[in-house]
Amino acid sequence: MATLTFVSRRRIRELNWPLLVGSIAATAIGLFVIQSAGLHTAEAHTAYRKQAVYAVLGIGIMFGCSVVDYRIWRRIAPYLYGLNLAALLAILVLPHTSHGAQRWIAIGPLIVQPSEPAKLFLAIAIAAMLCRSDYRKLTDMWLPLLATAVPAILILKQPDLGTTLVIMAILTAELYFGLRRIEDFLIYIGGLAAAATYVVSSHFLKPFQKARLLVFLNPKIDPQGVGYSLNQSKIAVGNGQWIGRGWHQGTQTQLNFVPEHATDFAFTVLAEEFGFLGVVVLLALYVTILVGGVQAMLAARDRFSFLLATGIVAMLCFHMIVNIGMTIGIMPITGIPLPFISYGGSAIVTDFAAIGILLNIYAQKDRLIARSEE
Amino acid sequence: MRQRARFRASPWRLAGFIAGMTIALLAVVARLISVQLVHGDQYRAAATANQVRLIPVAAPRGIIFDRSGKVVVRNRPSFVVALIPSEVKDIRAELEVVAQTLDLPQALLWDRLLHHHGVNYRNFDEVVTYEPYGPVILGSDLSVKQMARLAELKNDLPGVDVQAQPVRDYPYRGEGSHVFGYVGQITEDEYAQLKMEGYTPNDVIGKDGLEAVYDRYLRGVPGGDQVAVDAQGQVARHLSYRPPIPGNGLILTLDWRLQEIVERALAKGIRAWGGRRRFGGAVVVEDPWTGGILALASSPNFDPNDFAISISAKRYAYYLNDPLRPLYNRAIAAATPTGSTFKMVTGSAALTVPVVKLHEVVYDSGAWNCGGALFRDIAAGGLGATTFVPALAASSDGFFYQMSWRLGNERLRKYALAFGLGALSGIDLPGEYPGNWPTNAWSLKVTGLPLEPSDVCSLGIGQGAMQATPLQMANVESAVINGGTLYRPHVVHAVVDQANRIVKTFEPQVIREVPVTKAALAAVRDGMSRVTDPGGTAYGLAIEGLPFGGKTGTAETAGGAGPNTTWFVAYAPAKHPVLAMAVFVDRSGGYGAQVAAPIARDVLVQYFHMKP
Repeated sequence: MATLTFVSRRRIRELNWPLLVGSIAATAIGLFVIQSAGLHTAEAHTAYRKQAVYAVLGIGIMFGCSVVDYRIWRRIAPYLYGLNLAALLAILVLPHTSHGAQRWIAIGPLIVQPSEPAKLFLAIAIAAMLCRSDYRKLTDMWLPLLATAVPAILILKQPDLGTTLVIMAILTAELYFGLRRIEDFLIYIGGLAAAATYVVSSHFLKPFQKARLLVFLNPKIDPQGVGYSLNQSKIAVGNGQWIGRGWHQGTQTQLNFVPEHATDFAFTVLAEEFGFLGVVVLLALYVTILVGGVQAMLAARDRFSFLLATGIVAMLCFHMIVNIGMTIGIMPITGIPLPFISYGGSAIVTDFAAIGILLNIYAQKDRLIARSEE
Repeated sequence: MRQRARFRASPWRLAGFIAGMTIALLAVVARLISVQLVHGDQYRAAATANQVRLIPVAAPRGIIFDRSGKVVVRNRPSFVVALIPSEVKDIRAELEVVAQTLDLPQALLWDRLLHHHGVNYRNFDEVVTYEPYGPVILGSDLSVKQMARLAELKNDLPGVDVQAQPVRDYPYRGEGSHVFGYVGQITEDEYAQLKMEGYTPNDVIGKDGLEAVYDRYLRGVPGGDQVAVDAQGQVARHLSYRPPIPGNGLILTLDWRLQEIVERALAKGIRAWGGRRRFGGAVVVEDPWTGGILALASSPNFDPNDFAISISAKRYAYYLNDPLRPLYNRAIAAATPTGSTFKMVTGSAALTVPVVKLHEVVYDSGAWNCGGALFRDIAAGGLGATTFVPALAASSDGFFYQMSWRLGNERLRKYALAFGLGALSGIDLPGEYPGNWPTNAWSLKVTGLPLEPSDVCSLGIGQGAMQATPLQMANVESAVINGGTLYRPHVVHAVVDQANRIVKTFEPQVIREVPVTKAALAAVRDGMSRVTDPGGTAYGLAIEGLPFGGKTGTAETAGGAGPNTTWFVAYAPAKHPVLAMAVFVDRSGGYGAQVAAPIARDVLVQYFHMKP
């Protein structure tokens, strides 16, 4: 039985420092970015303070998750999944519209974006489902696929293409390790490609989502419209050059040429004001986090914790690559937040919770495992 | 509790997973290096171009003063709606709103948007491409209410801007219009010619009159407001401001009181003679001692204010379609035979050569046989035995046929040219016409017939193929008055800076000393001063208390078939003249004494404060 002492020698010894330091340092950078991004907006002096509060809350939840035995997640996975579906359905019933999309629900004074924790809940649920059998046959895959497809479709309907893609990335990463035969994985990839083609060509995507994908393919088709954000973002990133224009000095940011600069385009602000050097510092912190994540994967004692760590690492990495990639024109504009940086309480709390789970998986690497649990 | 084997993932799959993340991260880093480090300069330039904008600030044009310092042309502020094409989001919707606010038809705004500065664009995209920052003026002279409404709608109208612009203002409207000319937007052709002199495509430049001739003094130096704008095109902060330097002012030789008298007397005189018939006419009043123009009017005139804000097509069509051509400056460009006013030249020449002595008695039968062609004096009849001075006062054609015949074509031409006929006077106004003095070569070319010796008899009384402008006749008269000095007529006396310090003075320039004797000129003046005496052609037009000299002229048109063009040249006061005046009414019918002379008399009465 673990001692109730929160801080102990053993805890410190078992702590994965890269995960802890990387995430907290990235969050600190994020506060500077959000403060600067908010300078000329209506919520000029509130956004970064709110974010600081969310960060503290997130760090608390991270430590909380780090002491919760990860096996609990497997046990309550069905409930988490159910809660998740209920929340996503609730959005459709209780609209709180922002930017023409329904993504938020109000719980008392809190406005929560359920699609953020949904990613983590699904990573848990998928890992749990993949542990139900060995999946020797492809046909055994119907449950995790269906279980992922239902929330994916609900989120796509919000519409939130980005989160849908993140869920698909988590599923793909967990299947990559979870499927016994690599041929099954390749068949899955083929099916995924077919489904993606269908979704893009059907009426499933809203016109602006299709336009964003098309503009990604050729940004020059519409310089003032959909491609506007992309072009202005690229100009801002390039404007940063080596050392950046200086904090609060990014003209593209401060004069509002870059849209959504505290959220989707937070990286653009960092790149413009702190330049390539600032970008390298952030990327180094991200690599630190990913290294910590991979350490947690390697430390995983059982299949569930390995798949869960894989899903979390994939989720974080996908966020980083797609968000940064969109600001520099190598990924479509999808509105995925930048981990630990983008303004948004649900996102940062989810990110820290994910880190907490990784910390717990890592901390348990040397502990014995009871057979009955496998 | 039994221990189960530790879970181990496939090392190959792990390697693939880590490799996948690494490749993706490296792709991001590679792209960042490309954007920030390799092409950073381009993106920084784009960022600067994004936010920095130079808004040209028009310089107010120089003020124009009359000789006594009265302001006759100035500027007034006008609020205009300007469109900055590159910042427009939805041109159709925005033009609709602007049209409603200004209460103008949308079609007109589209017309102004696509057709301006002499360029025709096919669609708005072309405007954006070629004039991204415009500004294209959609409407001018906004009311306070319209400005307030546009200010309210500012956020819905990206790229639509309300600006204050100095607009040229001619407070006396049509009066002096043929001296001042008018201003307008520079056209593409003009810009191509003038861009080396620092003109910009948005400049307002002088198009005619003094505004055109002295444009480089009047225009000033446009300023610039360098601003940073945000994504909505709103000015975020001012980076630097270079104030415009207003243009230099002009001090004219015009006497504005006289100019107003002249304009009104000309219009009134034409109305009094013609009733509902309209005629073109002109008056030039010159200072005989300097060549400075005291007044210059051409009727009908036009309102230069119509051009100050881009003239409407309708208004322009009105000016172009009026058969009397209001934009045509008759004072310096209408060259016609001058009738007997030319006897000033013939007379001075005859006494200078001399072909006649001052008191030589010449028999005037009312006709003269010019080398086989009989010329008759239709108007005056024969004076019988007469001498030079009474013959000039009575404008005896019979007498002057003889003088012309005695002079011959060669000598008459020499004196006509010496008095400045057939050549540009060089006045500082555009559009001057040199007139004509026929030579043998000219006659062969135009009529196919050589100049006959007999032609001198019609030329000598200001008929036939000779042509002169009102300006030239006023200048001839000035030379007669001042003892034979032919000045270059001019309108501008000096250029002054903003503080009204003189920066440049235009001294009177002498074209030449006319080779005539002072005595000859004195005799001509003697004859002219008797024009209102009994036997003079303007008998009855004398002004009590103001003796003046004058000479009537009546020129046949269309070979005698058309209505006469009437002339009168006058100077006053007779003893010590301060002004020389030429009055011309085009194809008015009647005689100089009936049409042109009363106009001159009216001017003199008013100017010298005489009883009518």
